[in-house]
Amino acid sequence: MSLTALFDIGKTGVLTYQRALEVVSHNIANASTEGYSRQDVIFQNMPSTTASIVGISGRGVKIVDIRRMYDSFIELQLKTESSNLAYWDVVYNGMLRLEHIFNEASDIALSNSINDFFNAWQELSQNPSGTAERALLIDKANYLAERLNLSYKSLIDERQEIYNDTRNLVDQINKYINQINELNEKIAAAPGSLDAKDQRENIVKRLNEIVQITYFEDNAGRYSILLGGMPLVDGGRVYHLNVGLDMNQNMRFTIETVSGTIDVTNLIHGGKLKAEIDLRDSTIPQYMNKLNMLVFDLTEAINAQHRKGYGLDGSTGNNFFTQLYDLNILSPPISPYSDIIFKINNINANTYDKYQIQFDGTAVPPTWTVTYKTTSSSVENLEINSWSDATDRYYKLKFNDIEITIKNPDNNLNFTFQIKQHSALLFNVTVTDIQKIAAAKTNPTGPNSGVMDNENARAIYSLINSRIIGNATPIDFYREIVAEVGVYSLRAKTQKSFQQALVEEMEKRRQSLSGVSLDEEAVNLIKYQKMYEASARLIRVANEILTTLFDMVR
Amino acid sequence: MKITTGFLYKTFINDMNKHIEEMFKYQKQLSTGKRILFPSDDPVAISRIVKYNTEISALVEYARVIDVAKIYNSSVETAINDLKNMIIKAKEYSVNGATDTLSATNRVALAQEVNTLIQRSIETINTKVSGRYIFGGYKANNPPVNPSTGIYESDTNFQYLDISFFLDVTANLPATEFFTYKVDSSDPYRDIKVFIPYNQTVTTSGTQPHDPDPLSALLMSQPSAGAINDPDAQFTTNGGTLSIKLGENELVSVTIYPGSSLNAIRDAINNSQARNYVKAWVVNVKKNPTDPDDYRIVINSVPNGKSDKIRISVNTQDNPSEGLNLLSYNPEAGSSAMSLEGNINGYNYITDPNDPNYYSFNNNYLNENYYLRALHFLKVALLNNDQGRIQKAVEYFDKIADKLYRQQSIIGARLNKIETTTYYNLEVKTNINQTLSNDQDADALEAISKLNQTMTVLQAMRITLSNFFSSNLFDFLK
Repeated sequence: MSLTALFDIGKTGVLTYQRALEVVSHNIANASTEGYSRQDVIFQNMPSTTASIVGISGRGVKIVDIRRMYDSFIELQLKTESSNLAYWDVVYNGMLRLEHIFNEASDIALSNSINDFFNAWQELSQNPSGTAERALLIDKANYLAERLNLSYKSLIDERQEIYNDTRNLVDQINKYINQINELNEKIAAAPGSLDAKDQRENIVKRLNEIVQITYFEDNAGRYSILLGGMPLVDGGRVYHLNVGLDMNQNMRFTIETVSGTIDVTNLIHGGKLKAEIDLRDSTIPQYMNKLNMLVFDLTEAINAQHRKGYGLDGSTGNNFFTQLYDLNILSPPISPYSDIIFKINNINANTYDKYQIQFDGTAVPPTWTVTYKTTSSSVENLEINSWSDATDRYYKLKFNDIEITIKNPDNNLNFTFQIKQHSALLFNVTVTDIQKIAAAKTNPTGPNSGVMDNENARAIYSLINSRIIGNATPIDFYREIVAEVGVYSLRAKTQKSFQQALVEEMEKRRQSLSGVSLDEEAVNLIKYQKMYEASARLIRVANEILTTLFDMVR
Repeated sequence: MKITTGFLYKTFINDMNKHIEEMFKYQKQLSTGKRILFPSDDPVAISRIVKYNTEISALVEYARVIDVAKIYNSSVETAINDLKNMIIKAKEYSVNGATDTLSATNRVALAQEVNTLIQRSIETINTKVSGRYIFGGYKANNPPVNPSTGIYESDTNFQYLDISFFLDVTANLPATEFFTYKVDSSDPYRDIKVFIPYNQTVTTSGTQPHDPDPLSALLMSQPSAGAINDPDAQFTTNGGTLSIKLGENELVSVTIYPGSSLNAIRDAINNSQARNYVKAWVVNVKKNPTDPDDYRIVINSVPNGKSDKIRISVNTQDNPSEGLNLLSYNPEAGSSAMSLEGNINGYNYITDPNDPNYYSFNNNYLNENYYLRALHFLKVALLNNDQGRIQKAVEYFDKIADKLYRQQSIIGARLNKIETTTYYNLEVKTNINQTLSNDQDADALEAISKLNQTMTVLQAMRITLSNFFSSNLFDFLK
């Protein structure tokens, strides 16, 4: 072994530790970079190449690898849980906005306007002839209608808003998969590009937060990204996601592939996107339906009672709120038929169908036929009850959660009807002439009654305690909605904080492996600096030795 | 486990955010005074809060209704009190008028006084409170009694107001209950309400022992051959004897000649010794002016107001269920052809002094029950210088005063009910408010202490941040 080998060993030390210092600086510089994995230098001694029997020391040190401190299992778990966290985060925020719409904790709660409306009837019952009381009632009724319109409209706006958000998310997904594809190619070209891998990992993580995906790495280090089995990035190709609305105004997601467009809506699980779908197309419509049912049943119950009463001008049979269904009496030739009362017990897929109802009163026993107008097929679950009081005969038809009460039907009664959609939006007061508000039970212009007849007003007031909305009173029905929003929102909140804790724990584990500790880096810095200094000193020592040697010959 | 710098900062920020969020919540609770700011804060409580708010809002409304009901009923009470004072005055007049020393002229003068009372009474009964005539029915926008005729022109509906959950109270008092004395001539068959006295139940079966006077009379049933449309046509073929006994008085026999008409039988009874105990009338009981005539004999005890059992046995050759047999009445033996009628249609309204039925038993009933009628009775008696009837009027006024007391006690009961309900509602409201407050209101003490606690923690965190995080190993590399 020659003396100059000392120089070489010193050189390997200097170069190696210089490189190690570079890695440490890179780590320090990226201490707060999101998704950065700490890099670690692996040293190895260089063995001697000469053969000898006695021990021969090696030729210095070299770097065999700069490793990314990365555990794919932890990363995968972290991605899954982050995606769940993102899901609950979106749901929670969505529910917060719903809570604002149904916020009963505030003083401007919707239930107050329901109470005010009924109290106005009570007020009217004290002085049924009063102009002020009548005007107040119309005012309160209008306010109730506006409040319900507004709440419903807020829900529609919320759906639109979510749709806009979703489109942005889809754009982002497409942007991310483009980036992943680009990074794939970079990594395939330069497998040692650790930071590109970190970048890609980061994008995959963000993508996963938007929509839960599966991915795997091929031999060249490329990632294939799958959405519920359908490829988004595969073999250098990118398949873009699209979103649109179907005829029911629900969101549909599609992927354009070589073989055509494929609907992937049902393949979407987890992540923000799923949360948006759930909120927009499941949770919100549920509350919209409830509001529609509240409005429809309230309208029908108030109208039915109002039609029985008389206005100050002796008018009767008038509706108070705008009728929320289309009714077409085919026979007998009279209209409108005021003895038909509708009620919805639950809104389902068949609620807004067009039905035809025929009565054969001459048959023994009398028969009812209910058919879908479009297909002419009979409804399957028709249930008929009938009863009589002193003067009248009533029939109650139940099918598809719709209840129709008909008083004294003509033997050949035949009509079609269709319940209007978005009744909460159409909810409106139809009475404009305050004289026509039916506070009286008997005609006030007739001999046996007068302007102070308040019996019908009291009857309408008493509806606040009657089970007129499905099987609940108006307030009970409404507070059920509010409580449900609250419960669901609370669940989202709890789930979110649980997921947050989980993700934090994962993050801790990830950081424990991949994160940068400045103290640790400081130690490494000193360590590598000292090593560098030592290696440099070694060269000086070699130099001195060599000088000493040369001096001998001088 | 290695704790890295980035993670340390991140956790620190998360924790700090949590605390700040918490602090915001308590601060918001304190500033709004509410514990629940969103449904999700406590979904169960929010559901209850909605319910409580509804109940409170209903109670607030009920409080307003109660005020209205109170005003109306107090006014009715005051008005009745005035009427009572006038009746006392009228009684004084009648006692005064009945004295022997009073001349006819003096009585006419008294009649003028009574007339003034009548006018004042009508004014009182037409009292208007906040735009509404309290003694009217639903037609409360018009005076209930016509000042010139004394006829009640409103309807008889009671207006009910809800003063609590499932509890209502009447707001008005249609004056027909005690006031009307004259019936609209265009509608002679209009029903007048007849009160059943406390100790008597009128049955139409006729087989029950009964107290026929003053509220009821024995009414002959319709002959099987059909209604009698001429009271002067022959009624009994064979004639016979009627044996009439009132209470424990002696039995009196009345002979009826063969071929007698209804009118003839009436006169036979009224002209015999039986007139000391009973009186007979012939009435047309058709319900409707357009119905065919239907004349019957009606028998009741005299003098008016005398109450006792009547028995009539018949001895005749007439066919069973025909002729005189229709006049038998023996509730104890169970063989009764006549029935007991509380109020005979069309019979209450005879006001023509020339009518043989004027001041009949039913008029007697009306006189005792209807305020203006009693005054009118006194007025007519004074004008006619009829000392006996003036004396009679005293009794009427006692009864009318009684009746007013009764109406007053009804109103008193209403006011009582209103007052009790006011307290009850108040109590319910207080309870609900308390429960609501438990659910809804922030516990200030708790919120403040929690806020302080959170602030202390936050303070500690900030100090930690500035002291601990400010230094790391690099600071020691010199």
